[in-house]
Amino acid sequence: MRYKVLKFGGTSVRTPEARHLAALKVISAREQGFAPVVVVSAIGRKGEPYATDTLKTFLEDVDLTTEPDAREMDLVMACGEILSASVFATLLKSMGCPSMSLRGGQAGIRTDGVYGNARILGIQPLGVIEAVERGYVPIVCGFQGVWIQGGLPGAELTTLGRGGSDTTAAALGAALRAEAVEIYTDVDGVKTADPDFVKEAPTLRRVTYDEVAEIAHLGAKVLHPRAAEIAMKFDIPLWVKNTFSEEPGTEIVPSREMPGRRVTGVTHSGKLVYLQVDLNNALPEHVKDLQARIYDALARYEINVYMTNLGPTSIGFAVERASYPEVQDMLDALVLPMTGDARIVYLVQSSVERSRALDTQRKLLEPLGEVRELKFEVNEGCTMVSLVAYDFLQQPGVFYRVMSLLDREGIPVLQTNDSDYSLSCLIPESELRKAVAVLHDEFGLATLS
Amino acid sequence: MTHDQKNLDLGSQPFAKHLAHDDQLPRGANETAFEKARGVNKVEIRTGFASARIGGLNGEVQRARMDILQAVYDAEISFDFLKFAADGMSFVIPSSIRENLEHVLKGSGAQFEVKGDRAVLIVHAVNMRDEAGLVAKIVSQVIDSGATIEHLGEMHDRLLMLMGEKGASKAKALLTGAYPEAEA
Repeated sequence: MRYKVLKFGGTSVRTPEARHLAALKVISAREQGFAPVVVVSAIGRKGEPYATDTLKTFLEDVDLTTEPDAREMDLVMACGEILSASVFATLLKSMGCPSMSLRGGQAGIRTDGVYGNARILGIQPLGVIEAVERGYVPIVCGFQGVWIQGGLPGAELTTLGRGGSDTTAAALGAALRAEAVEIYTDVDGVKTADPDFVKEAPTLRRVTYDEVAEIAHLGAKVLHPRAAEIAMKFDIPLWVKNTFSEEPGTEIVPSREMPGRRVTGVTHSGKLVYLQVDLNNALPEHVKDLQARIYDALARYEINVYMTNLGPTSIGFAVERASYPEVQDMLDALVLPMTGDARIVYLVQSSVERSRALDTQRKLLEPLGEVRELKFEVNEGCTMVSLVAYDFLQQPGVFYRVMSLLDREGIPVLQTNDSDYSLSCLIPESELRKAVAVLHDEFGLATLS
Repeated sequence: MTHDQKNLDLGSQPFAKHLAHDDQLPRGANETAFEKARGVNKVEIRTGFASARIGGLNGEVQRARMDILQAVYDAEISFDFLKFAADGMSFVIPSSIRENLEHVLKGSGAQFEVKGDRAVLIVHAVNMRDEAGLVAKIVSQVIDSGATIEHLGEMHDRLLMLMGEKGASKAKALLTGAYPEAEA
């Protein structure tokens, strides 16, 4: 059997017209001799009635002081894909193509028991295979699986967390030894830059799994790194295509198929806040302990940090703007007592304005010993622009070329981060559009394909 | 409206079994293992680096930084891990070109220090951005191991931390102990 997995994201199943176009892709695959297996996301995106985020509000709004259980949240969130799969199956039937929806468990997707962020442990897709053999196109609910607990009656439904539907598609492709996994979205494939910023940004015909994972990691929402990881591991041909066009899309291939030095694209992240604390006020022997405690606090509150910088007299890191109020709450007036000969207590100020809580803490702590304050400098209007490249950034002069370009353009760089695949600069949000455009131009990306 | 209950052939026992009992999925030999375990799954060390720290820049610090980077660029020295500090910056070079860099920095008149015997501790953590707090946790654990992190970079599946070679060994031992599934 020549399996092809087609995954349709929220925008591809959002309206009857979009679903019709998606259904035509499935019928076309069938006419070409493939056994199509469809994976669908919930209908629409954030704010729309059947999108996952909207469904969550049913539980969140029950009582503002009651945090819903993760198990209940998973059941509610999974409804979006179930609805979507059933609608899509009925649509295909109406178009003369026998079809049936399958929940994640029915498709044989077994996960661990981490509600809300489950990991696929294995797939035994007998239900999918048998549906195909009986002439149906299986429509599998993305983003969900089942956790089989020993001794308990009934499997527990779990959701796979971010990128769950992409992950479902790649994993099913691997389990079925599919000839291709096609991820359908509303863009023509992987672009060299966000077309909202660079209109002429071309679609890349081929990129490697690592490149696409890095692009996704740095902010472009084309394909989730988890899906890329599975496809890479099992050598599954993976494509990113547009539901709304006949463009060929982007093929994601193993690195061995694309040797050679190159720049792949310019990407950008969302809104960030950069926090930097001057540790000159700390005793040198306390610096490492302070660094560890501050990062430990961030970990305990499950805060994602970017652009981490550790110096002998400072700590810097960026957080997503949405999580900044929580970070501010957590760090402001944080008390860090030190043990040892000197009775010193450090007190953190993370808000721009000095808070009442800080003054109160200080008064309470003063009888205990010397109180030293550590003040965070907060830069709220930041974002990150990144150059993604393979075997290129280690060449002499590339880093300087980026830095001097941004300097010439008057774009201040607040911090940088680099790796084997990317070079990122933290810049003021107001300069983002310009930064993306000049980097795209400097590295000749408009002529790539 | 009458709903169609005939067209879907669910009559055969094996098929019905596959669909009806998703609580009894067999864990057979045909099942394929998919995603790596969450958290740290590999720790390795790369050696052969030196780090340069430039400080004491006054006035237009950004201009002064760019002048130094220009001199480094003119000397065809490649660097990584560029990080800015309030009065300067730091970066990493291969140990083999340390003397060349020192020569350039002396010529620039800047205050600087170049340290050899640096290593990069590479901590692989698949999908780490979706594991909220994981990056901060690893940083905290590495500091707790006694290592001094001098620079830190990241990509989609790994953290790269520059430190002294001895510190890297200690941190690697701590992390492989803390994450038993990690490959050393």
